[in-house]
Amino acid sequence: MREDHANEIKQLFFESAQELLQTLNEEAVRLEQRPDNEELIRDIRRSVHTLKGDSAVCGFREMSETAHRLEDALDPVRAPHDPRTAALILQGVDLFTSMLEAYRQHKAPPDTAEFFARIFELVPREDAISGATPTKLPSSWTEYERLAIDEAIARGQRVYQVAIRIAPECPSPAIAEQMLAAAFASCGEVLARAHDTSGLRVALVSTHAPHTIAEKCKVPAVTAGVNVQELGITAEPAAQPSEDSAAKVRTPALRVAPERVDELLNLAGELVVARSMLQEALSDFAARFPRDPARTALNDAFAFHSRLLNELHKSVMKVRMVPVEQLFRRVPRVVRDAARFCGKTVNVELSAGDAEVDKSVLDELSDSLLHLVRNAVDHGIEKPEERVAAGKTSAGTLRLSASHEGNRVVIEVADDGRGLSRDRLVERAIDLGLITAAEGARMSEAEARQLIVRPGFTTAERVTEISGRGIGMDAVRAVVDRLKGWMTIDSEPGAGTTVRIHLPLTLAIIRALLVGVAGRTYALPLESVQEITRIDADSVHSVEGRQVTELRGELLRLVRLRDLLGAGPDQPRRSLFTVIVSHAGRRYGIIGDELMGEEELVIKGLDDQTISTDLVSGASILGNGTVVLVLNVVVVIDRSSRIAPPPPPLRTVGVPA
Amino acid sequence: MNPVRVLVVDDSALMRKLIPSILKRDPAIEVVGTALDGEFALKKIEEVKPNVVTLDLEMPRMDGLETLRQITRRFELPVVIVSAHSRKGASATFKALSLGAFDFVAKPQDAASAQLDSIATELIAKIKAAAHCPVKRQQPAEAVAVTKKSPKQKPRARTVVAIGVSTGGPNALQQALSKLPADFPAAIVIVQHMPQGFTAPFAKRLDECCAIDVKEAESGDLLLGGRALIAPGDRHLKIRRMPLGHVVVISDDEPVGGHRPSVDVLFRSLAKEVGSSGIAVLMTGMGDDGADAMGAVKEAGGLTLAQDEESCVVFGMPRAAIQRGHVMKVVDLDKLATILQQHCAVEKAVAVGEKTR
Repeated sequence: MREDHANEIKQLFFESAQELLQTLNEEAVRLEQRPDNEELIRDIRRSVHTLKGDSAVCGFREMSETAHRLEDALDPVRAPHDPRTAALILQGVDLFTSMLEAYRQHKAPPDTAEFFARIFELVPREDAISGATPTKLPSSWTEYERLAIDEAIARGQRVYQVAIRIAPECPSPAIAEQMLAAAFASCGEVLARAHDTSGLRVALVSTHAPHTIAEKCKVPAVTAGVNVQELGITAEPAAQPSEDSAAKVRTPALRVAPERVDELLNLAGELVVARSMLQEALSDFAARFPRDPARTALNDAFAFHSRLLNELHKSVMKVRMVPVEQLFRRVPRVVRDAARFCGKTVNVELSAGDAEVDKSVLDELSDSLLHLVRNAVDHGIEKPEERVAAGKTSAGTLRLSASHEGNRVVIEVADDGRGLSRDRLVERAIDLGLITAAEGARMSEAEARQLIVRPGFTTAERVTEISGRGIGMDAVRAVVDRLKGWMTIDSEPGAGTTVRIHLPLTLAIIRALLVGVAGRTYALPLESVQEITRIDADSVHSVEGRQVTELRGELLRLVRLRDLLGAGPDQPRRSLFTVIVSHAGRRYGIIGDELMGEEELVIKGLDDQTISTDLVSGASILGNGTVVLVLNVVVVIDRSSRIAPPPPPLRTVGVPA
Repeated sequence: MNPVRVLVVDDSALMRKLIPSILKRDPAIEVVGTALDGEFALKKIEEVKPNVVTLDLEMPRMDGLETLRQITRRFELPVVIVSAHSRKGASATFKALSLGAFDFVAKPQDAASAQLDSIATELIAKIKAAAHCPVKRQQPAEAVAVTKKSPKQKPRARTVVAIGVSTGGPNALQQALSKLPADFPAAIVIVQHMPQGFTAPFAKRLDECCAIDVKEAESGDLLLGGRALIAPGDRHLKIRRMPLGHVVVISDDEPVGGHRPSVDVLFRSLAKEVGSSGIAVLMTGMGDDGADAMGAVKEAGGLTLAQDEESCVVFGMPRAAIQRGHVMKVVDLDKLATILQQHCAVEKAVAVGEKTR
């Protein structure tokens, strides 16, 4: 076609396009006022379609491509209900207008990336983002070549695919071809050859070993890389998967090495520390320049940063979360085996719901849980005849469940067996030399139940193969302690026993109360803190060597951290700063020197060499660089009660939590 | 002779100017009007009494397919579709052809290139052909989807059927190929004059309604029994004999007789590589592509068939071959599948006989 004719067409296009854009403008504005108008969207779509066709006729590819994408985005069903549609169309009109101007002046058209991104925001669909033509996969073997390869293999020959990357410095492709042809000939027979962008691929019948072939095909200054692979029958699928089936393939779950997640978690943890530093610097700044306008800006930025950090931390934690269900999976089999061995019938009910817990928690807990399960079958659930005599069904029931309670997950193992008898527990503990008769006499039901987690305690008269051998409930408890959780045991004689394990969802970051003791800073996990109070020094009494006080009519046993941590006595104070914590259904007061604040701590594990006491479960560093030791509340209370015998209960205290 | 009166229907103002400016080049064509949508077009037809209508398929209000239905039913006018280059455009185009559109041309994609020239020539030729072919009351070729049996290994074919077809081809091929059974023993290769971008959806469409497999040919594809390979638009297709069987080779050689793919190129390779096991079929279409090379097939001992005038939309290519004396048998479209099967049965028997001997 003559040049002037082409120009004439373009002139025609400029005129009609101008008109189309004007129409589009009006239509988009109307749409903005009256969204939900499907008919209007159809009109707009048609205008865009015409623009697409017309610009293609003139060879204005950018415009045609842009119109194509916009048309795809204007789905008549969805688009009218999206309030952003009108704005998108108007933005499109502006883009088309500046494109038109550029074409008129023979300049490069404006960039479309931003507009495409907007479209993608609205319609994140495969077909809207993919270009006009899907790019074909690099050449694979043709049908004929595949046939030749298959037949050779069927004859028992070995066929190798040799992929050769041609060196960029190779002077002449023709020479390279010749040299390689000679190399191939020395290896065997070439069945097929194909050129890729960076080199050459051949299917070779050869009696040589792959490395020999690779060696022979290496030609200095010609080949940059040689890859040899043996081919099997129908080494490549007979047909390329169609576009549709490719679209249907779901993205598979990502498998990531745990170390990588830990690394992420660690970094997120460090960020929390960094935030504390930042916060401290900010409050310094605020104190020094109280009137500086930058303060507000800094505070806003900090708040935003904090929120993001929390989200980041949560996201990373989520990666590590696994369903508790996994933990329960092994239970039915274990119960079955244990029940068989004991000659009992036990039904298992599992309900993990959608409770999730940190993977490391789960891994640690697995054996303990199975131990609890065996224990319940062995000691808890009675023999069928015994059950029938007690008016129960002959088959016992073991129920395992998991649920979220605030920031914790509670795993419950409940049986409907004989339950724990306080007297029997106490008696047994005295027999085993774990407590004195006097201690036993004073024990409440709840305290007696805690006996079963004492090291060396077992109620079973004989050691069975199933449980009661060496590792006892104390081992379970040790694990739970290590996981910064706690265990409660609830039991009704004759009706059954329920063991609950309360676990933190995560081990990595805790909110904690900072307590100063003898010039050092200690942390008490906030989740075990019930209240903070000051008690009058005069109200502290000593009962049988134990310090107690009365708080709102309730007798509270006190633990002085100074005593426990081996620091000297404090100067006399009129009122004592006390943190009330709850453990195993009782409340205790922990007395420190001063309250230093509340902080989010990133816990760093401590190994046994670093610290010789189990009073401390971890350490952390504050924003100002201070090292904080995190106290293990359960051990703190336990230890203090061993220093001196517990006081007699004034009244029955709460049901186990 | 009176010029052909043409009505141009397109919602694009540009196309309503561009198409007449192209058609003006031929004195035998007169554009008597334009219309920007279907309803307007129907009114215009009564008013200006055109001989041929060019129709865009995507228009406001009454869409192209509905307009086409009305034009063919009420006025019995031949319609040439001007199609958009897109997947959707291609599928609407095939639908239009099955509804009785005479033929189609693809919209030009670059006004500055020589492409517009060839499209202009094509459009002019098709309008003229449409004007001189009485509208036949075709049965709308309904595509019935076929459920294919589990794909089993198709045998390498001994007999090769090569088909050359142009205007009217999509419907005729569908009609003929859908009658062949999945275990049809011969391989089929087809050159259908069609622009690039349309052949793949066309092959897919045929594949869906035929028991045999149909695919757009790729270089190195084997000639297998019960499978038809369609030459990709704007590329030549040749048959080549290889040690393990026949394959197709796709090439970008210069157009032959103005065509790429060219039927002549296909038939020559059939004569050379397949010889007496080749069957050449020329079907409906303008011009004489394939007529000469059919002689070569006959000379090589192959069978040559031509579609009869009655069943052709345009009796061009078959007539040229018949006039040159290269056609051994003229067949009705309905009978084509049967005749191919009969011939292949003979071939099969011969093959079995050779084996047992």
